[in-house]
Amino acid sequence: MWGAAAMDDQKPGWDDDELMAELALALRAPGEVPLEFAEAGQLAFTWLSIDDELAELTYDSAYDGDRAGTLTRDESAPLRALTYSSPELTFELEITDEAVHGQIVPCQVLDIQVLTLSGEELVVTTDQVGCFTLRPIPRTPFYLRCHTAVGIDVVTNWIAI
Amino acid sequence: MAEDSTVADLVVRARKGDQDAWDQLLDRYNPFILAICRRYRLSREDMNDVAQTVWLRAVQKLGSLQTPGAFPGWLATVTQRECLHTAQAARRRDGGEYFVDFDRSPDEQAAMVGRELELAELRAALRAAFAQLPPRCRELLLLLMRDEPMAYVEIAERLRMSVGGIGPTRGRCLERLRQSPYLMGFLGPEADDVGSGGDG
Repeated sequence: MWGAAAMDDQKPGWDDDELMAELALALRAPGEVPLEFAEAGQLAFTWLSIDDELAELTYDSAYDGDRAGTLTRDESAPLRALTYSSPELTFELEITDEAVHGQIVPCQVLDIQVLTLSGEELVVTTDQVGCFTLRPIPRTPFYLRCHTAVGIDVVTNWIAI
Repeated sequence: MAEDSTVADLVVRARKGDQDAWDQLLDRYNPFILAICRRYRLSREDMNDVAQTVWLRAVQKLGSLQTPGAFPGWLATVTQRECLHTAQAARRRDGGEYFVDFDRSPDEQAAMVGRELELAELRAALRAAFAQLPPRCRELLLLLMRDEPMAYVEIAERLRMSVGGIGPTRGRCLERLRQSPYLMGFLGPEADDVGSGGDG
């Protein structure tokens, strides 16, 4: 097998027939990749905006402690809690069965863009205490982006629920 | 290895928002992700989920990679971990009947992933080297590589060359391919001795 051979220190030279065979495999490989792979990669890249301040995941109840873990699965109880923090702004998110309840800290009234991997975009406005709700929960991963009062654009990482 | 500097370059460009560099990373590593998904015998749907997760995490990782050249290793680790989790979830979902031949040790799995990554890099290098061949070489080699072999007479007619010229031309084209800087470090010692370029 060539994959194994390529890792050895003693690399064999290829004769013409071997080179042709390897070349054929190499040229065929991209055609075997599902189109969805490239699409997912393309859509993921739309997140990259180097001028935005990044709010990174700093807490996830699924992995960190039991802040939300002991809650029962009743109608209003959060099933998962996530925190995305940047120096400028923090997004606190609680995920229930049917909605994402969010709050920005420090609280302020502003528009939050919700951008989904499937290309949808919507805007929600926070209330006086910085709260907002996304209902229904986006079906594909999404991220949040907003323009703060002091003029800084803050964007979360991709959020996959 | 020549390919490493290219990857580092692509990562640096992609993190600055260069769409073309990102596309090249996708082209280069999607076959690798597919290969690992197949090793874990994932369903088509699960494969797509893995690819999505890997690329979402990759685009976020671009900015924080200390060493851009470390991207392939990072990608390989994330891909393998996602595939393993997905395969385990599928096995639970399907009541244990789902066949996963992953009773192998972590070391064996890591070695397998390493080989697949190496293979994906090699094939990307071969494609890059092939793309740099003169059009006539590419045309001839493509005709010779068809799944249903084409008769030399037909090839000769198509390319307006003599039947006797096909063999020697094929040899020259392959020699040229072998000497491509993209393949430095991938081929045998005799290929390493040729030329001085290695920046791919």
